[in-house]
Amino acid sequence: MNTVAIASSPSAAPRRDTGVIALAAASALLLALTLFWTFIKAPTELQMGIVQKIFYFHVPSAYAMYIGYALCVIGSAMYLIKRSDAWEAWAVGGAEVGSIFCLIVLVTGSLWGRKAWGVYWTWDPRITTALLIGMIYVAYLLLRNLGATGEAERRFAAGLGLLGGPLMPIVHYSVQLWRGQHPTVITKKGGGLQDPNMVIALLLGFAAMTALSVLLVWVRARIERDRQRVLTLELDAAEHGLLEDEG
Amino acid sequence: MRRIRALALGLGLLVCTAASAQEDAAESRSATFQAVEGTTKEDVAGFPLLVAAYGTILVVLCAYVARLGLLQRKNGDELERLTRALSRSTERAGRAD
Repeated sequence: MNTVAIASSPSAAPRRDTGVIALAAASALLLALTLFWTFIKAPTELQMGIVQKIFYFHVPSAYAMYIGYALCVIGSAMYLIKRSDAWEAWAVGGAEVGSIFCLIVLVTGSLWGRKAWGVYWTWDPRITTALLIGMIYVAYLLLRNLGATGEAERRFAAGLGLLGGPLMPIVHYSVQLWRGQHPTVITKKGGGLQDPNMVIALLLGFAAMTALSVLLVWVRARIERDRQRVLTLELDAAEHGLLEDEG
Repeated sequence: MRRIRALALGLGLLVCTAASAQEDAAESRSATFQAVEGTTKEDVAGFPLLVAAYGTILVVLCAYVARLGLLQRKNGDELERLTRALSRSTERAGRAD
């Protein structure tokens, strides 16, 4: 590849940002609506008091975590099948965003637990499995960021990304599978939110966190894709002796 | 044949019992959130916990967006460095011709 060919590579093409901007605007609007409904419209809860308002972001954050990790699983699987950098970028984005929401879930859950159970942490099956899946994807990210540039390392990282997949249903159904302290509010019978405004706040929270997680994964995947392209260009240029001045 | 039928029936019963037990385990801990008018008496102060929870969400999300910005800038800087190096290389090649 000569200088002209490198300069005219796909990375130099103008990018359409309309989708990202629209999703960012939708996320911001939904987050504002969720906050309004949580603090202004939804009433205080009888037993938990004001702390119950954590629920409207805690549960949707858990779903955002699943979205991130599911995208990482898909991206990793597709990378192993097609060896495509684009799929790997989605996997990295999914793992990072999933881990961010996992952190939010664990911290807000601990603060909830302080009020509900009197302790910040307990080795409940749901909490423990959530911590475990978070640790798996932190390991994936460490592997990707600490020099996983070779094909073998990238494949190993993709394998690790896949490993978290079977753990997701275990995290989700741990409340049904094993007895623990974690409450189940959304069940087939019993439980539930007794005020319509509580339901609206929760639904808005789901919509906001879904939009936000998809937006963050999309942006992170694009940045990762750019990084891969810059790296490829640099390697091509170096191979053709065009970076001699750089040392 | 009878044995197979009995085994199938037994297995079916086992699966149903296990599924029912799982559902019961979830239902026995099902929580109900009820609305209340005015302020409530609390033994553990809820307000600091609520502030800490929403503060954490805000800080974590803002920090991550800032990280995305930094990564984007790093890519831009790398691309700029590469472009400069290539321009120098092109100029040198032009002079040599």
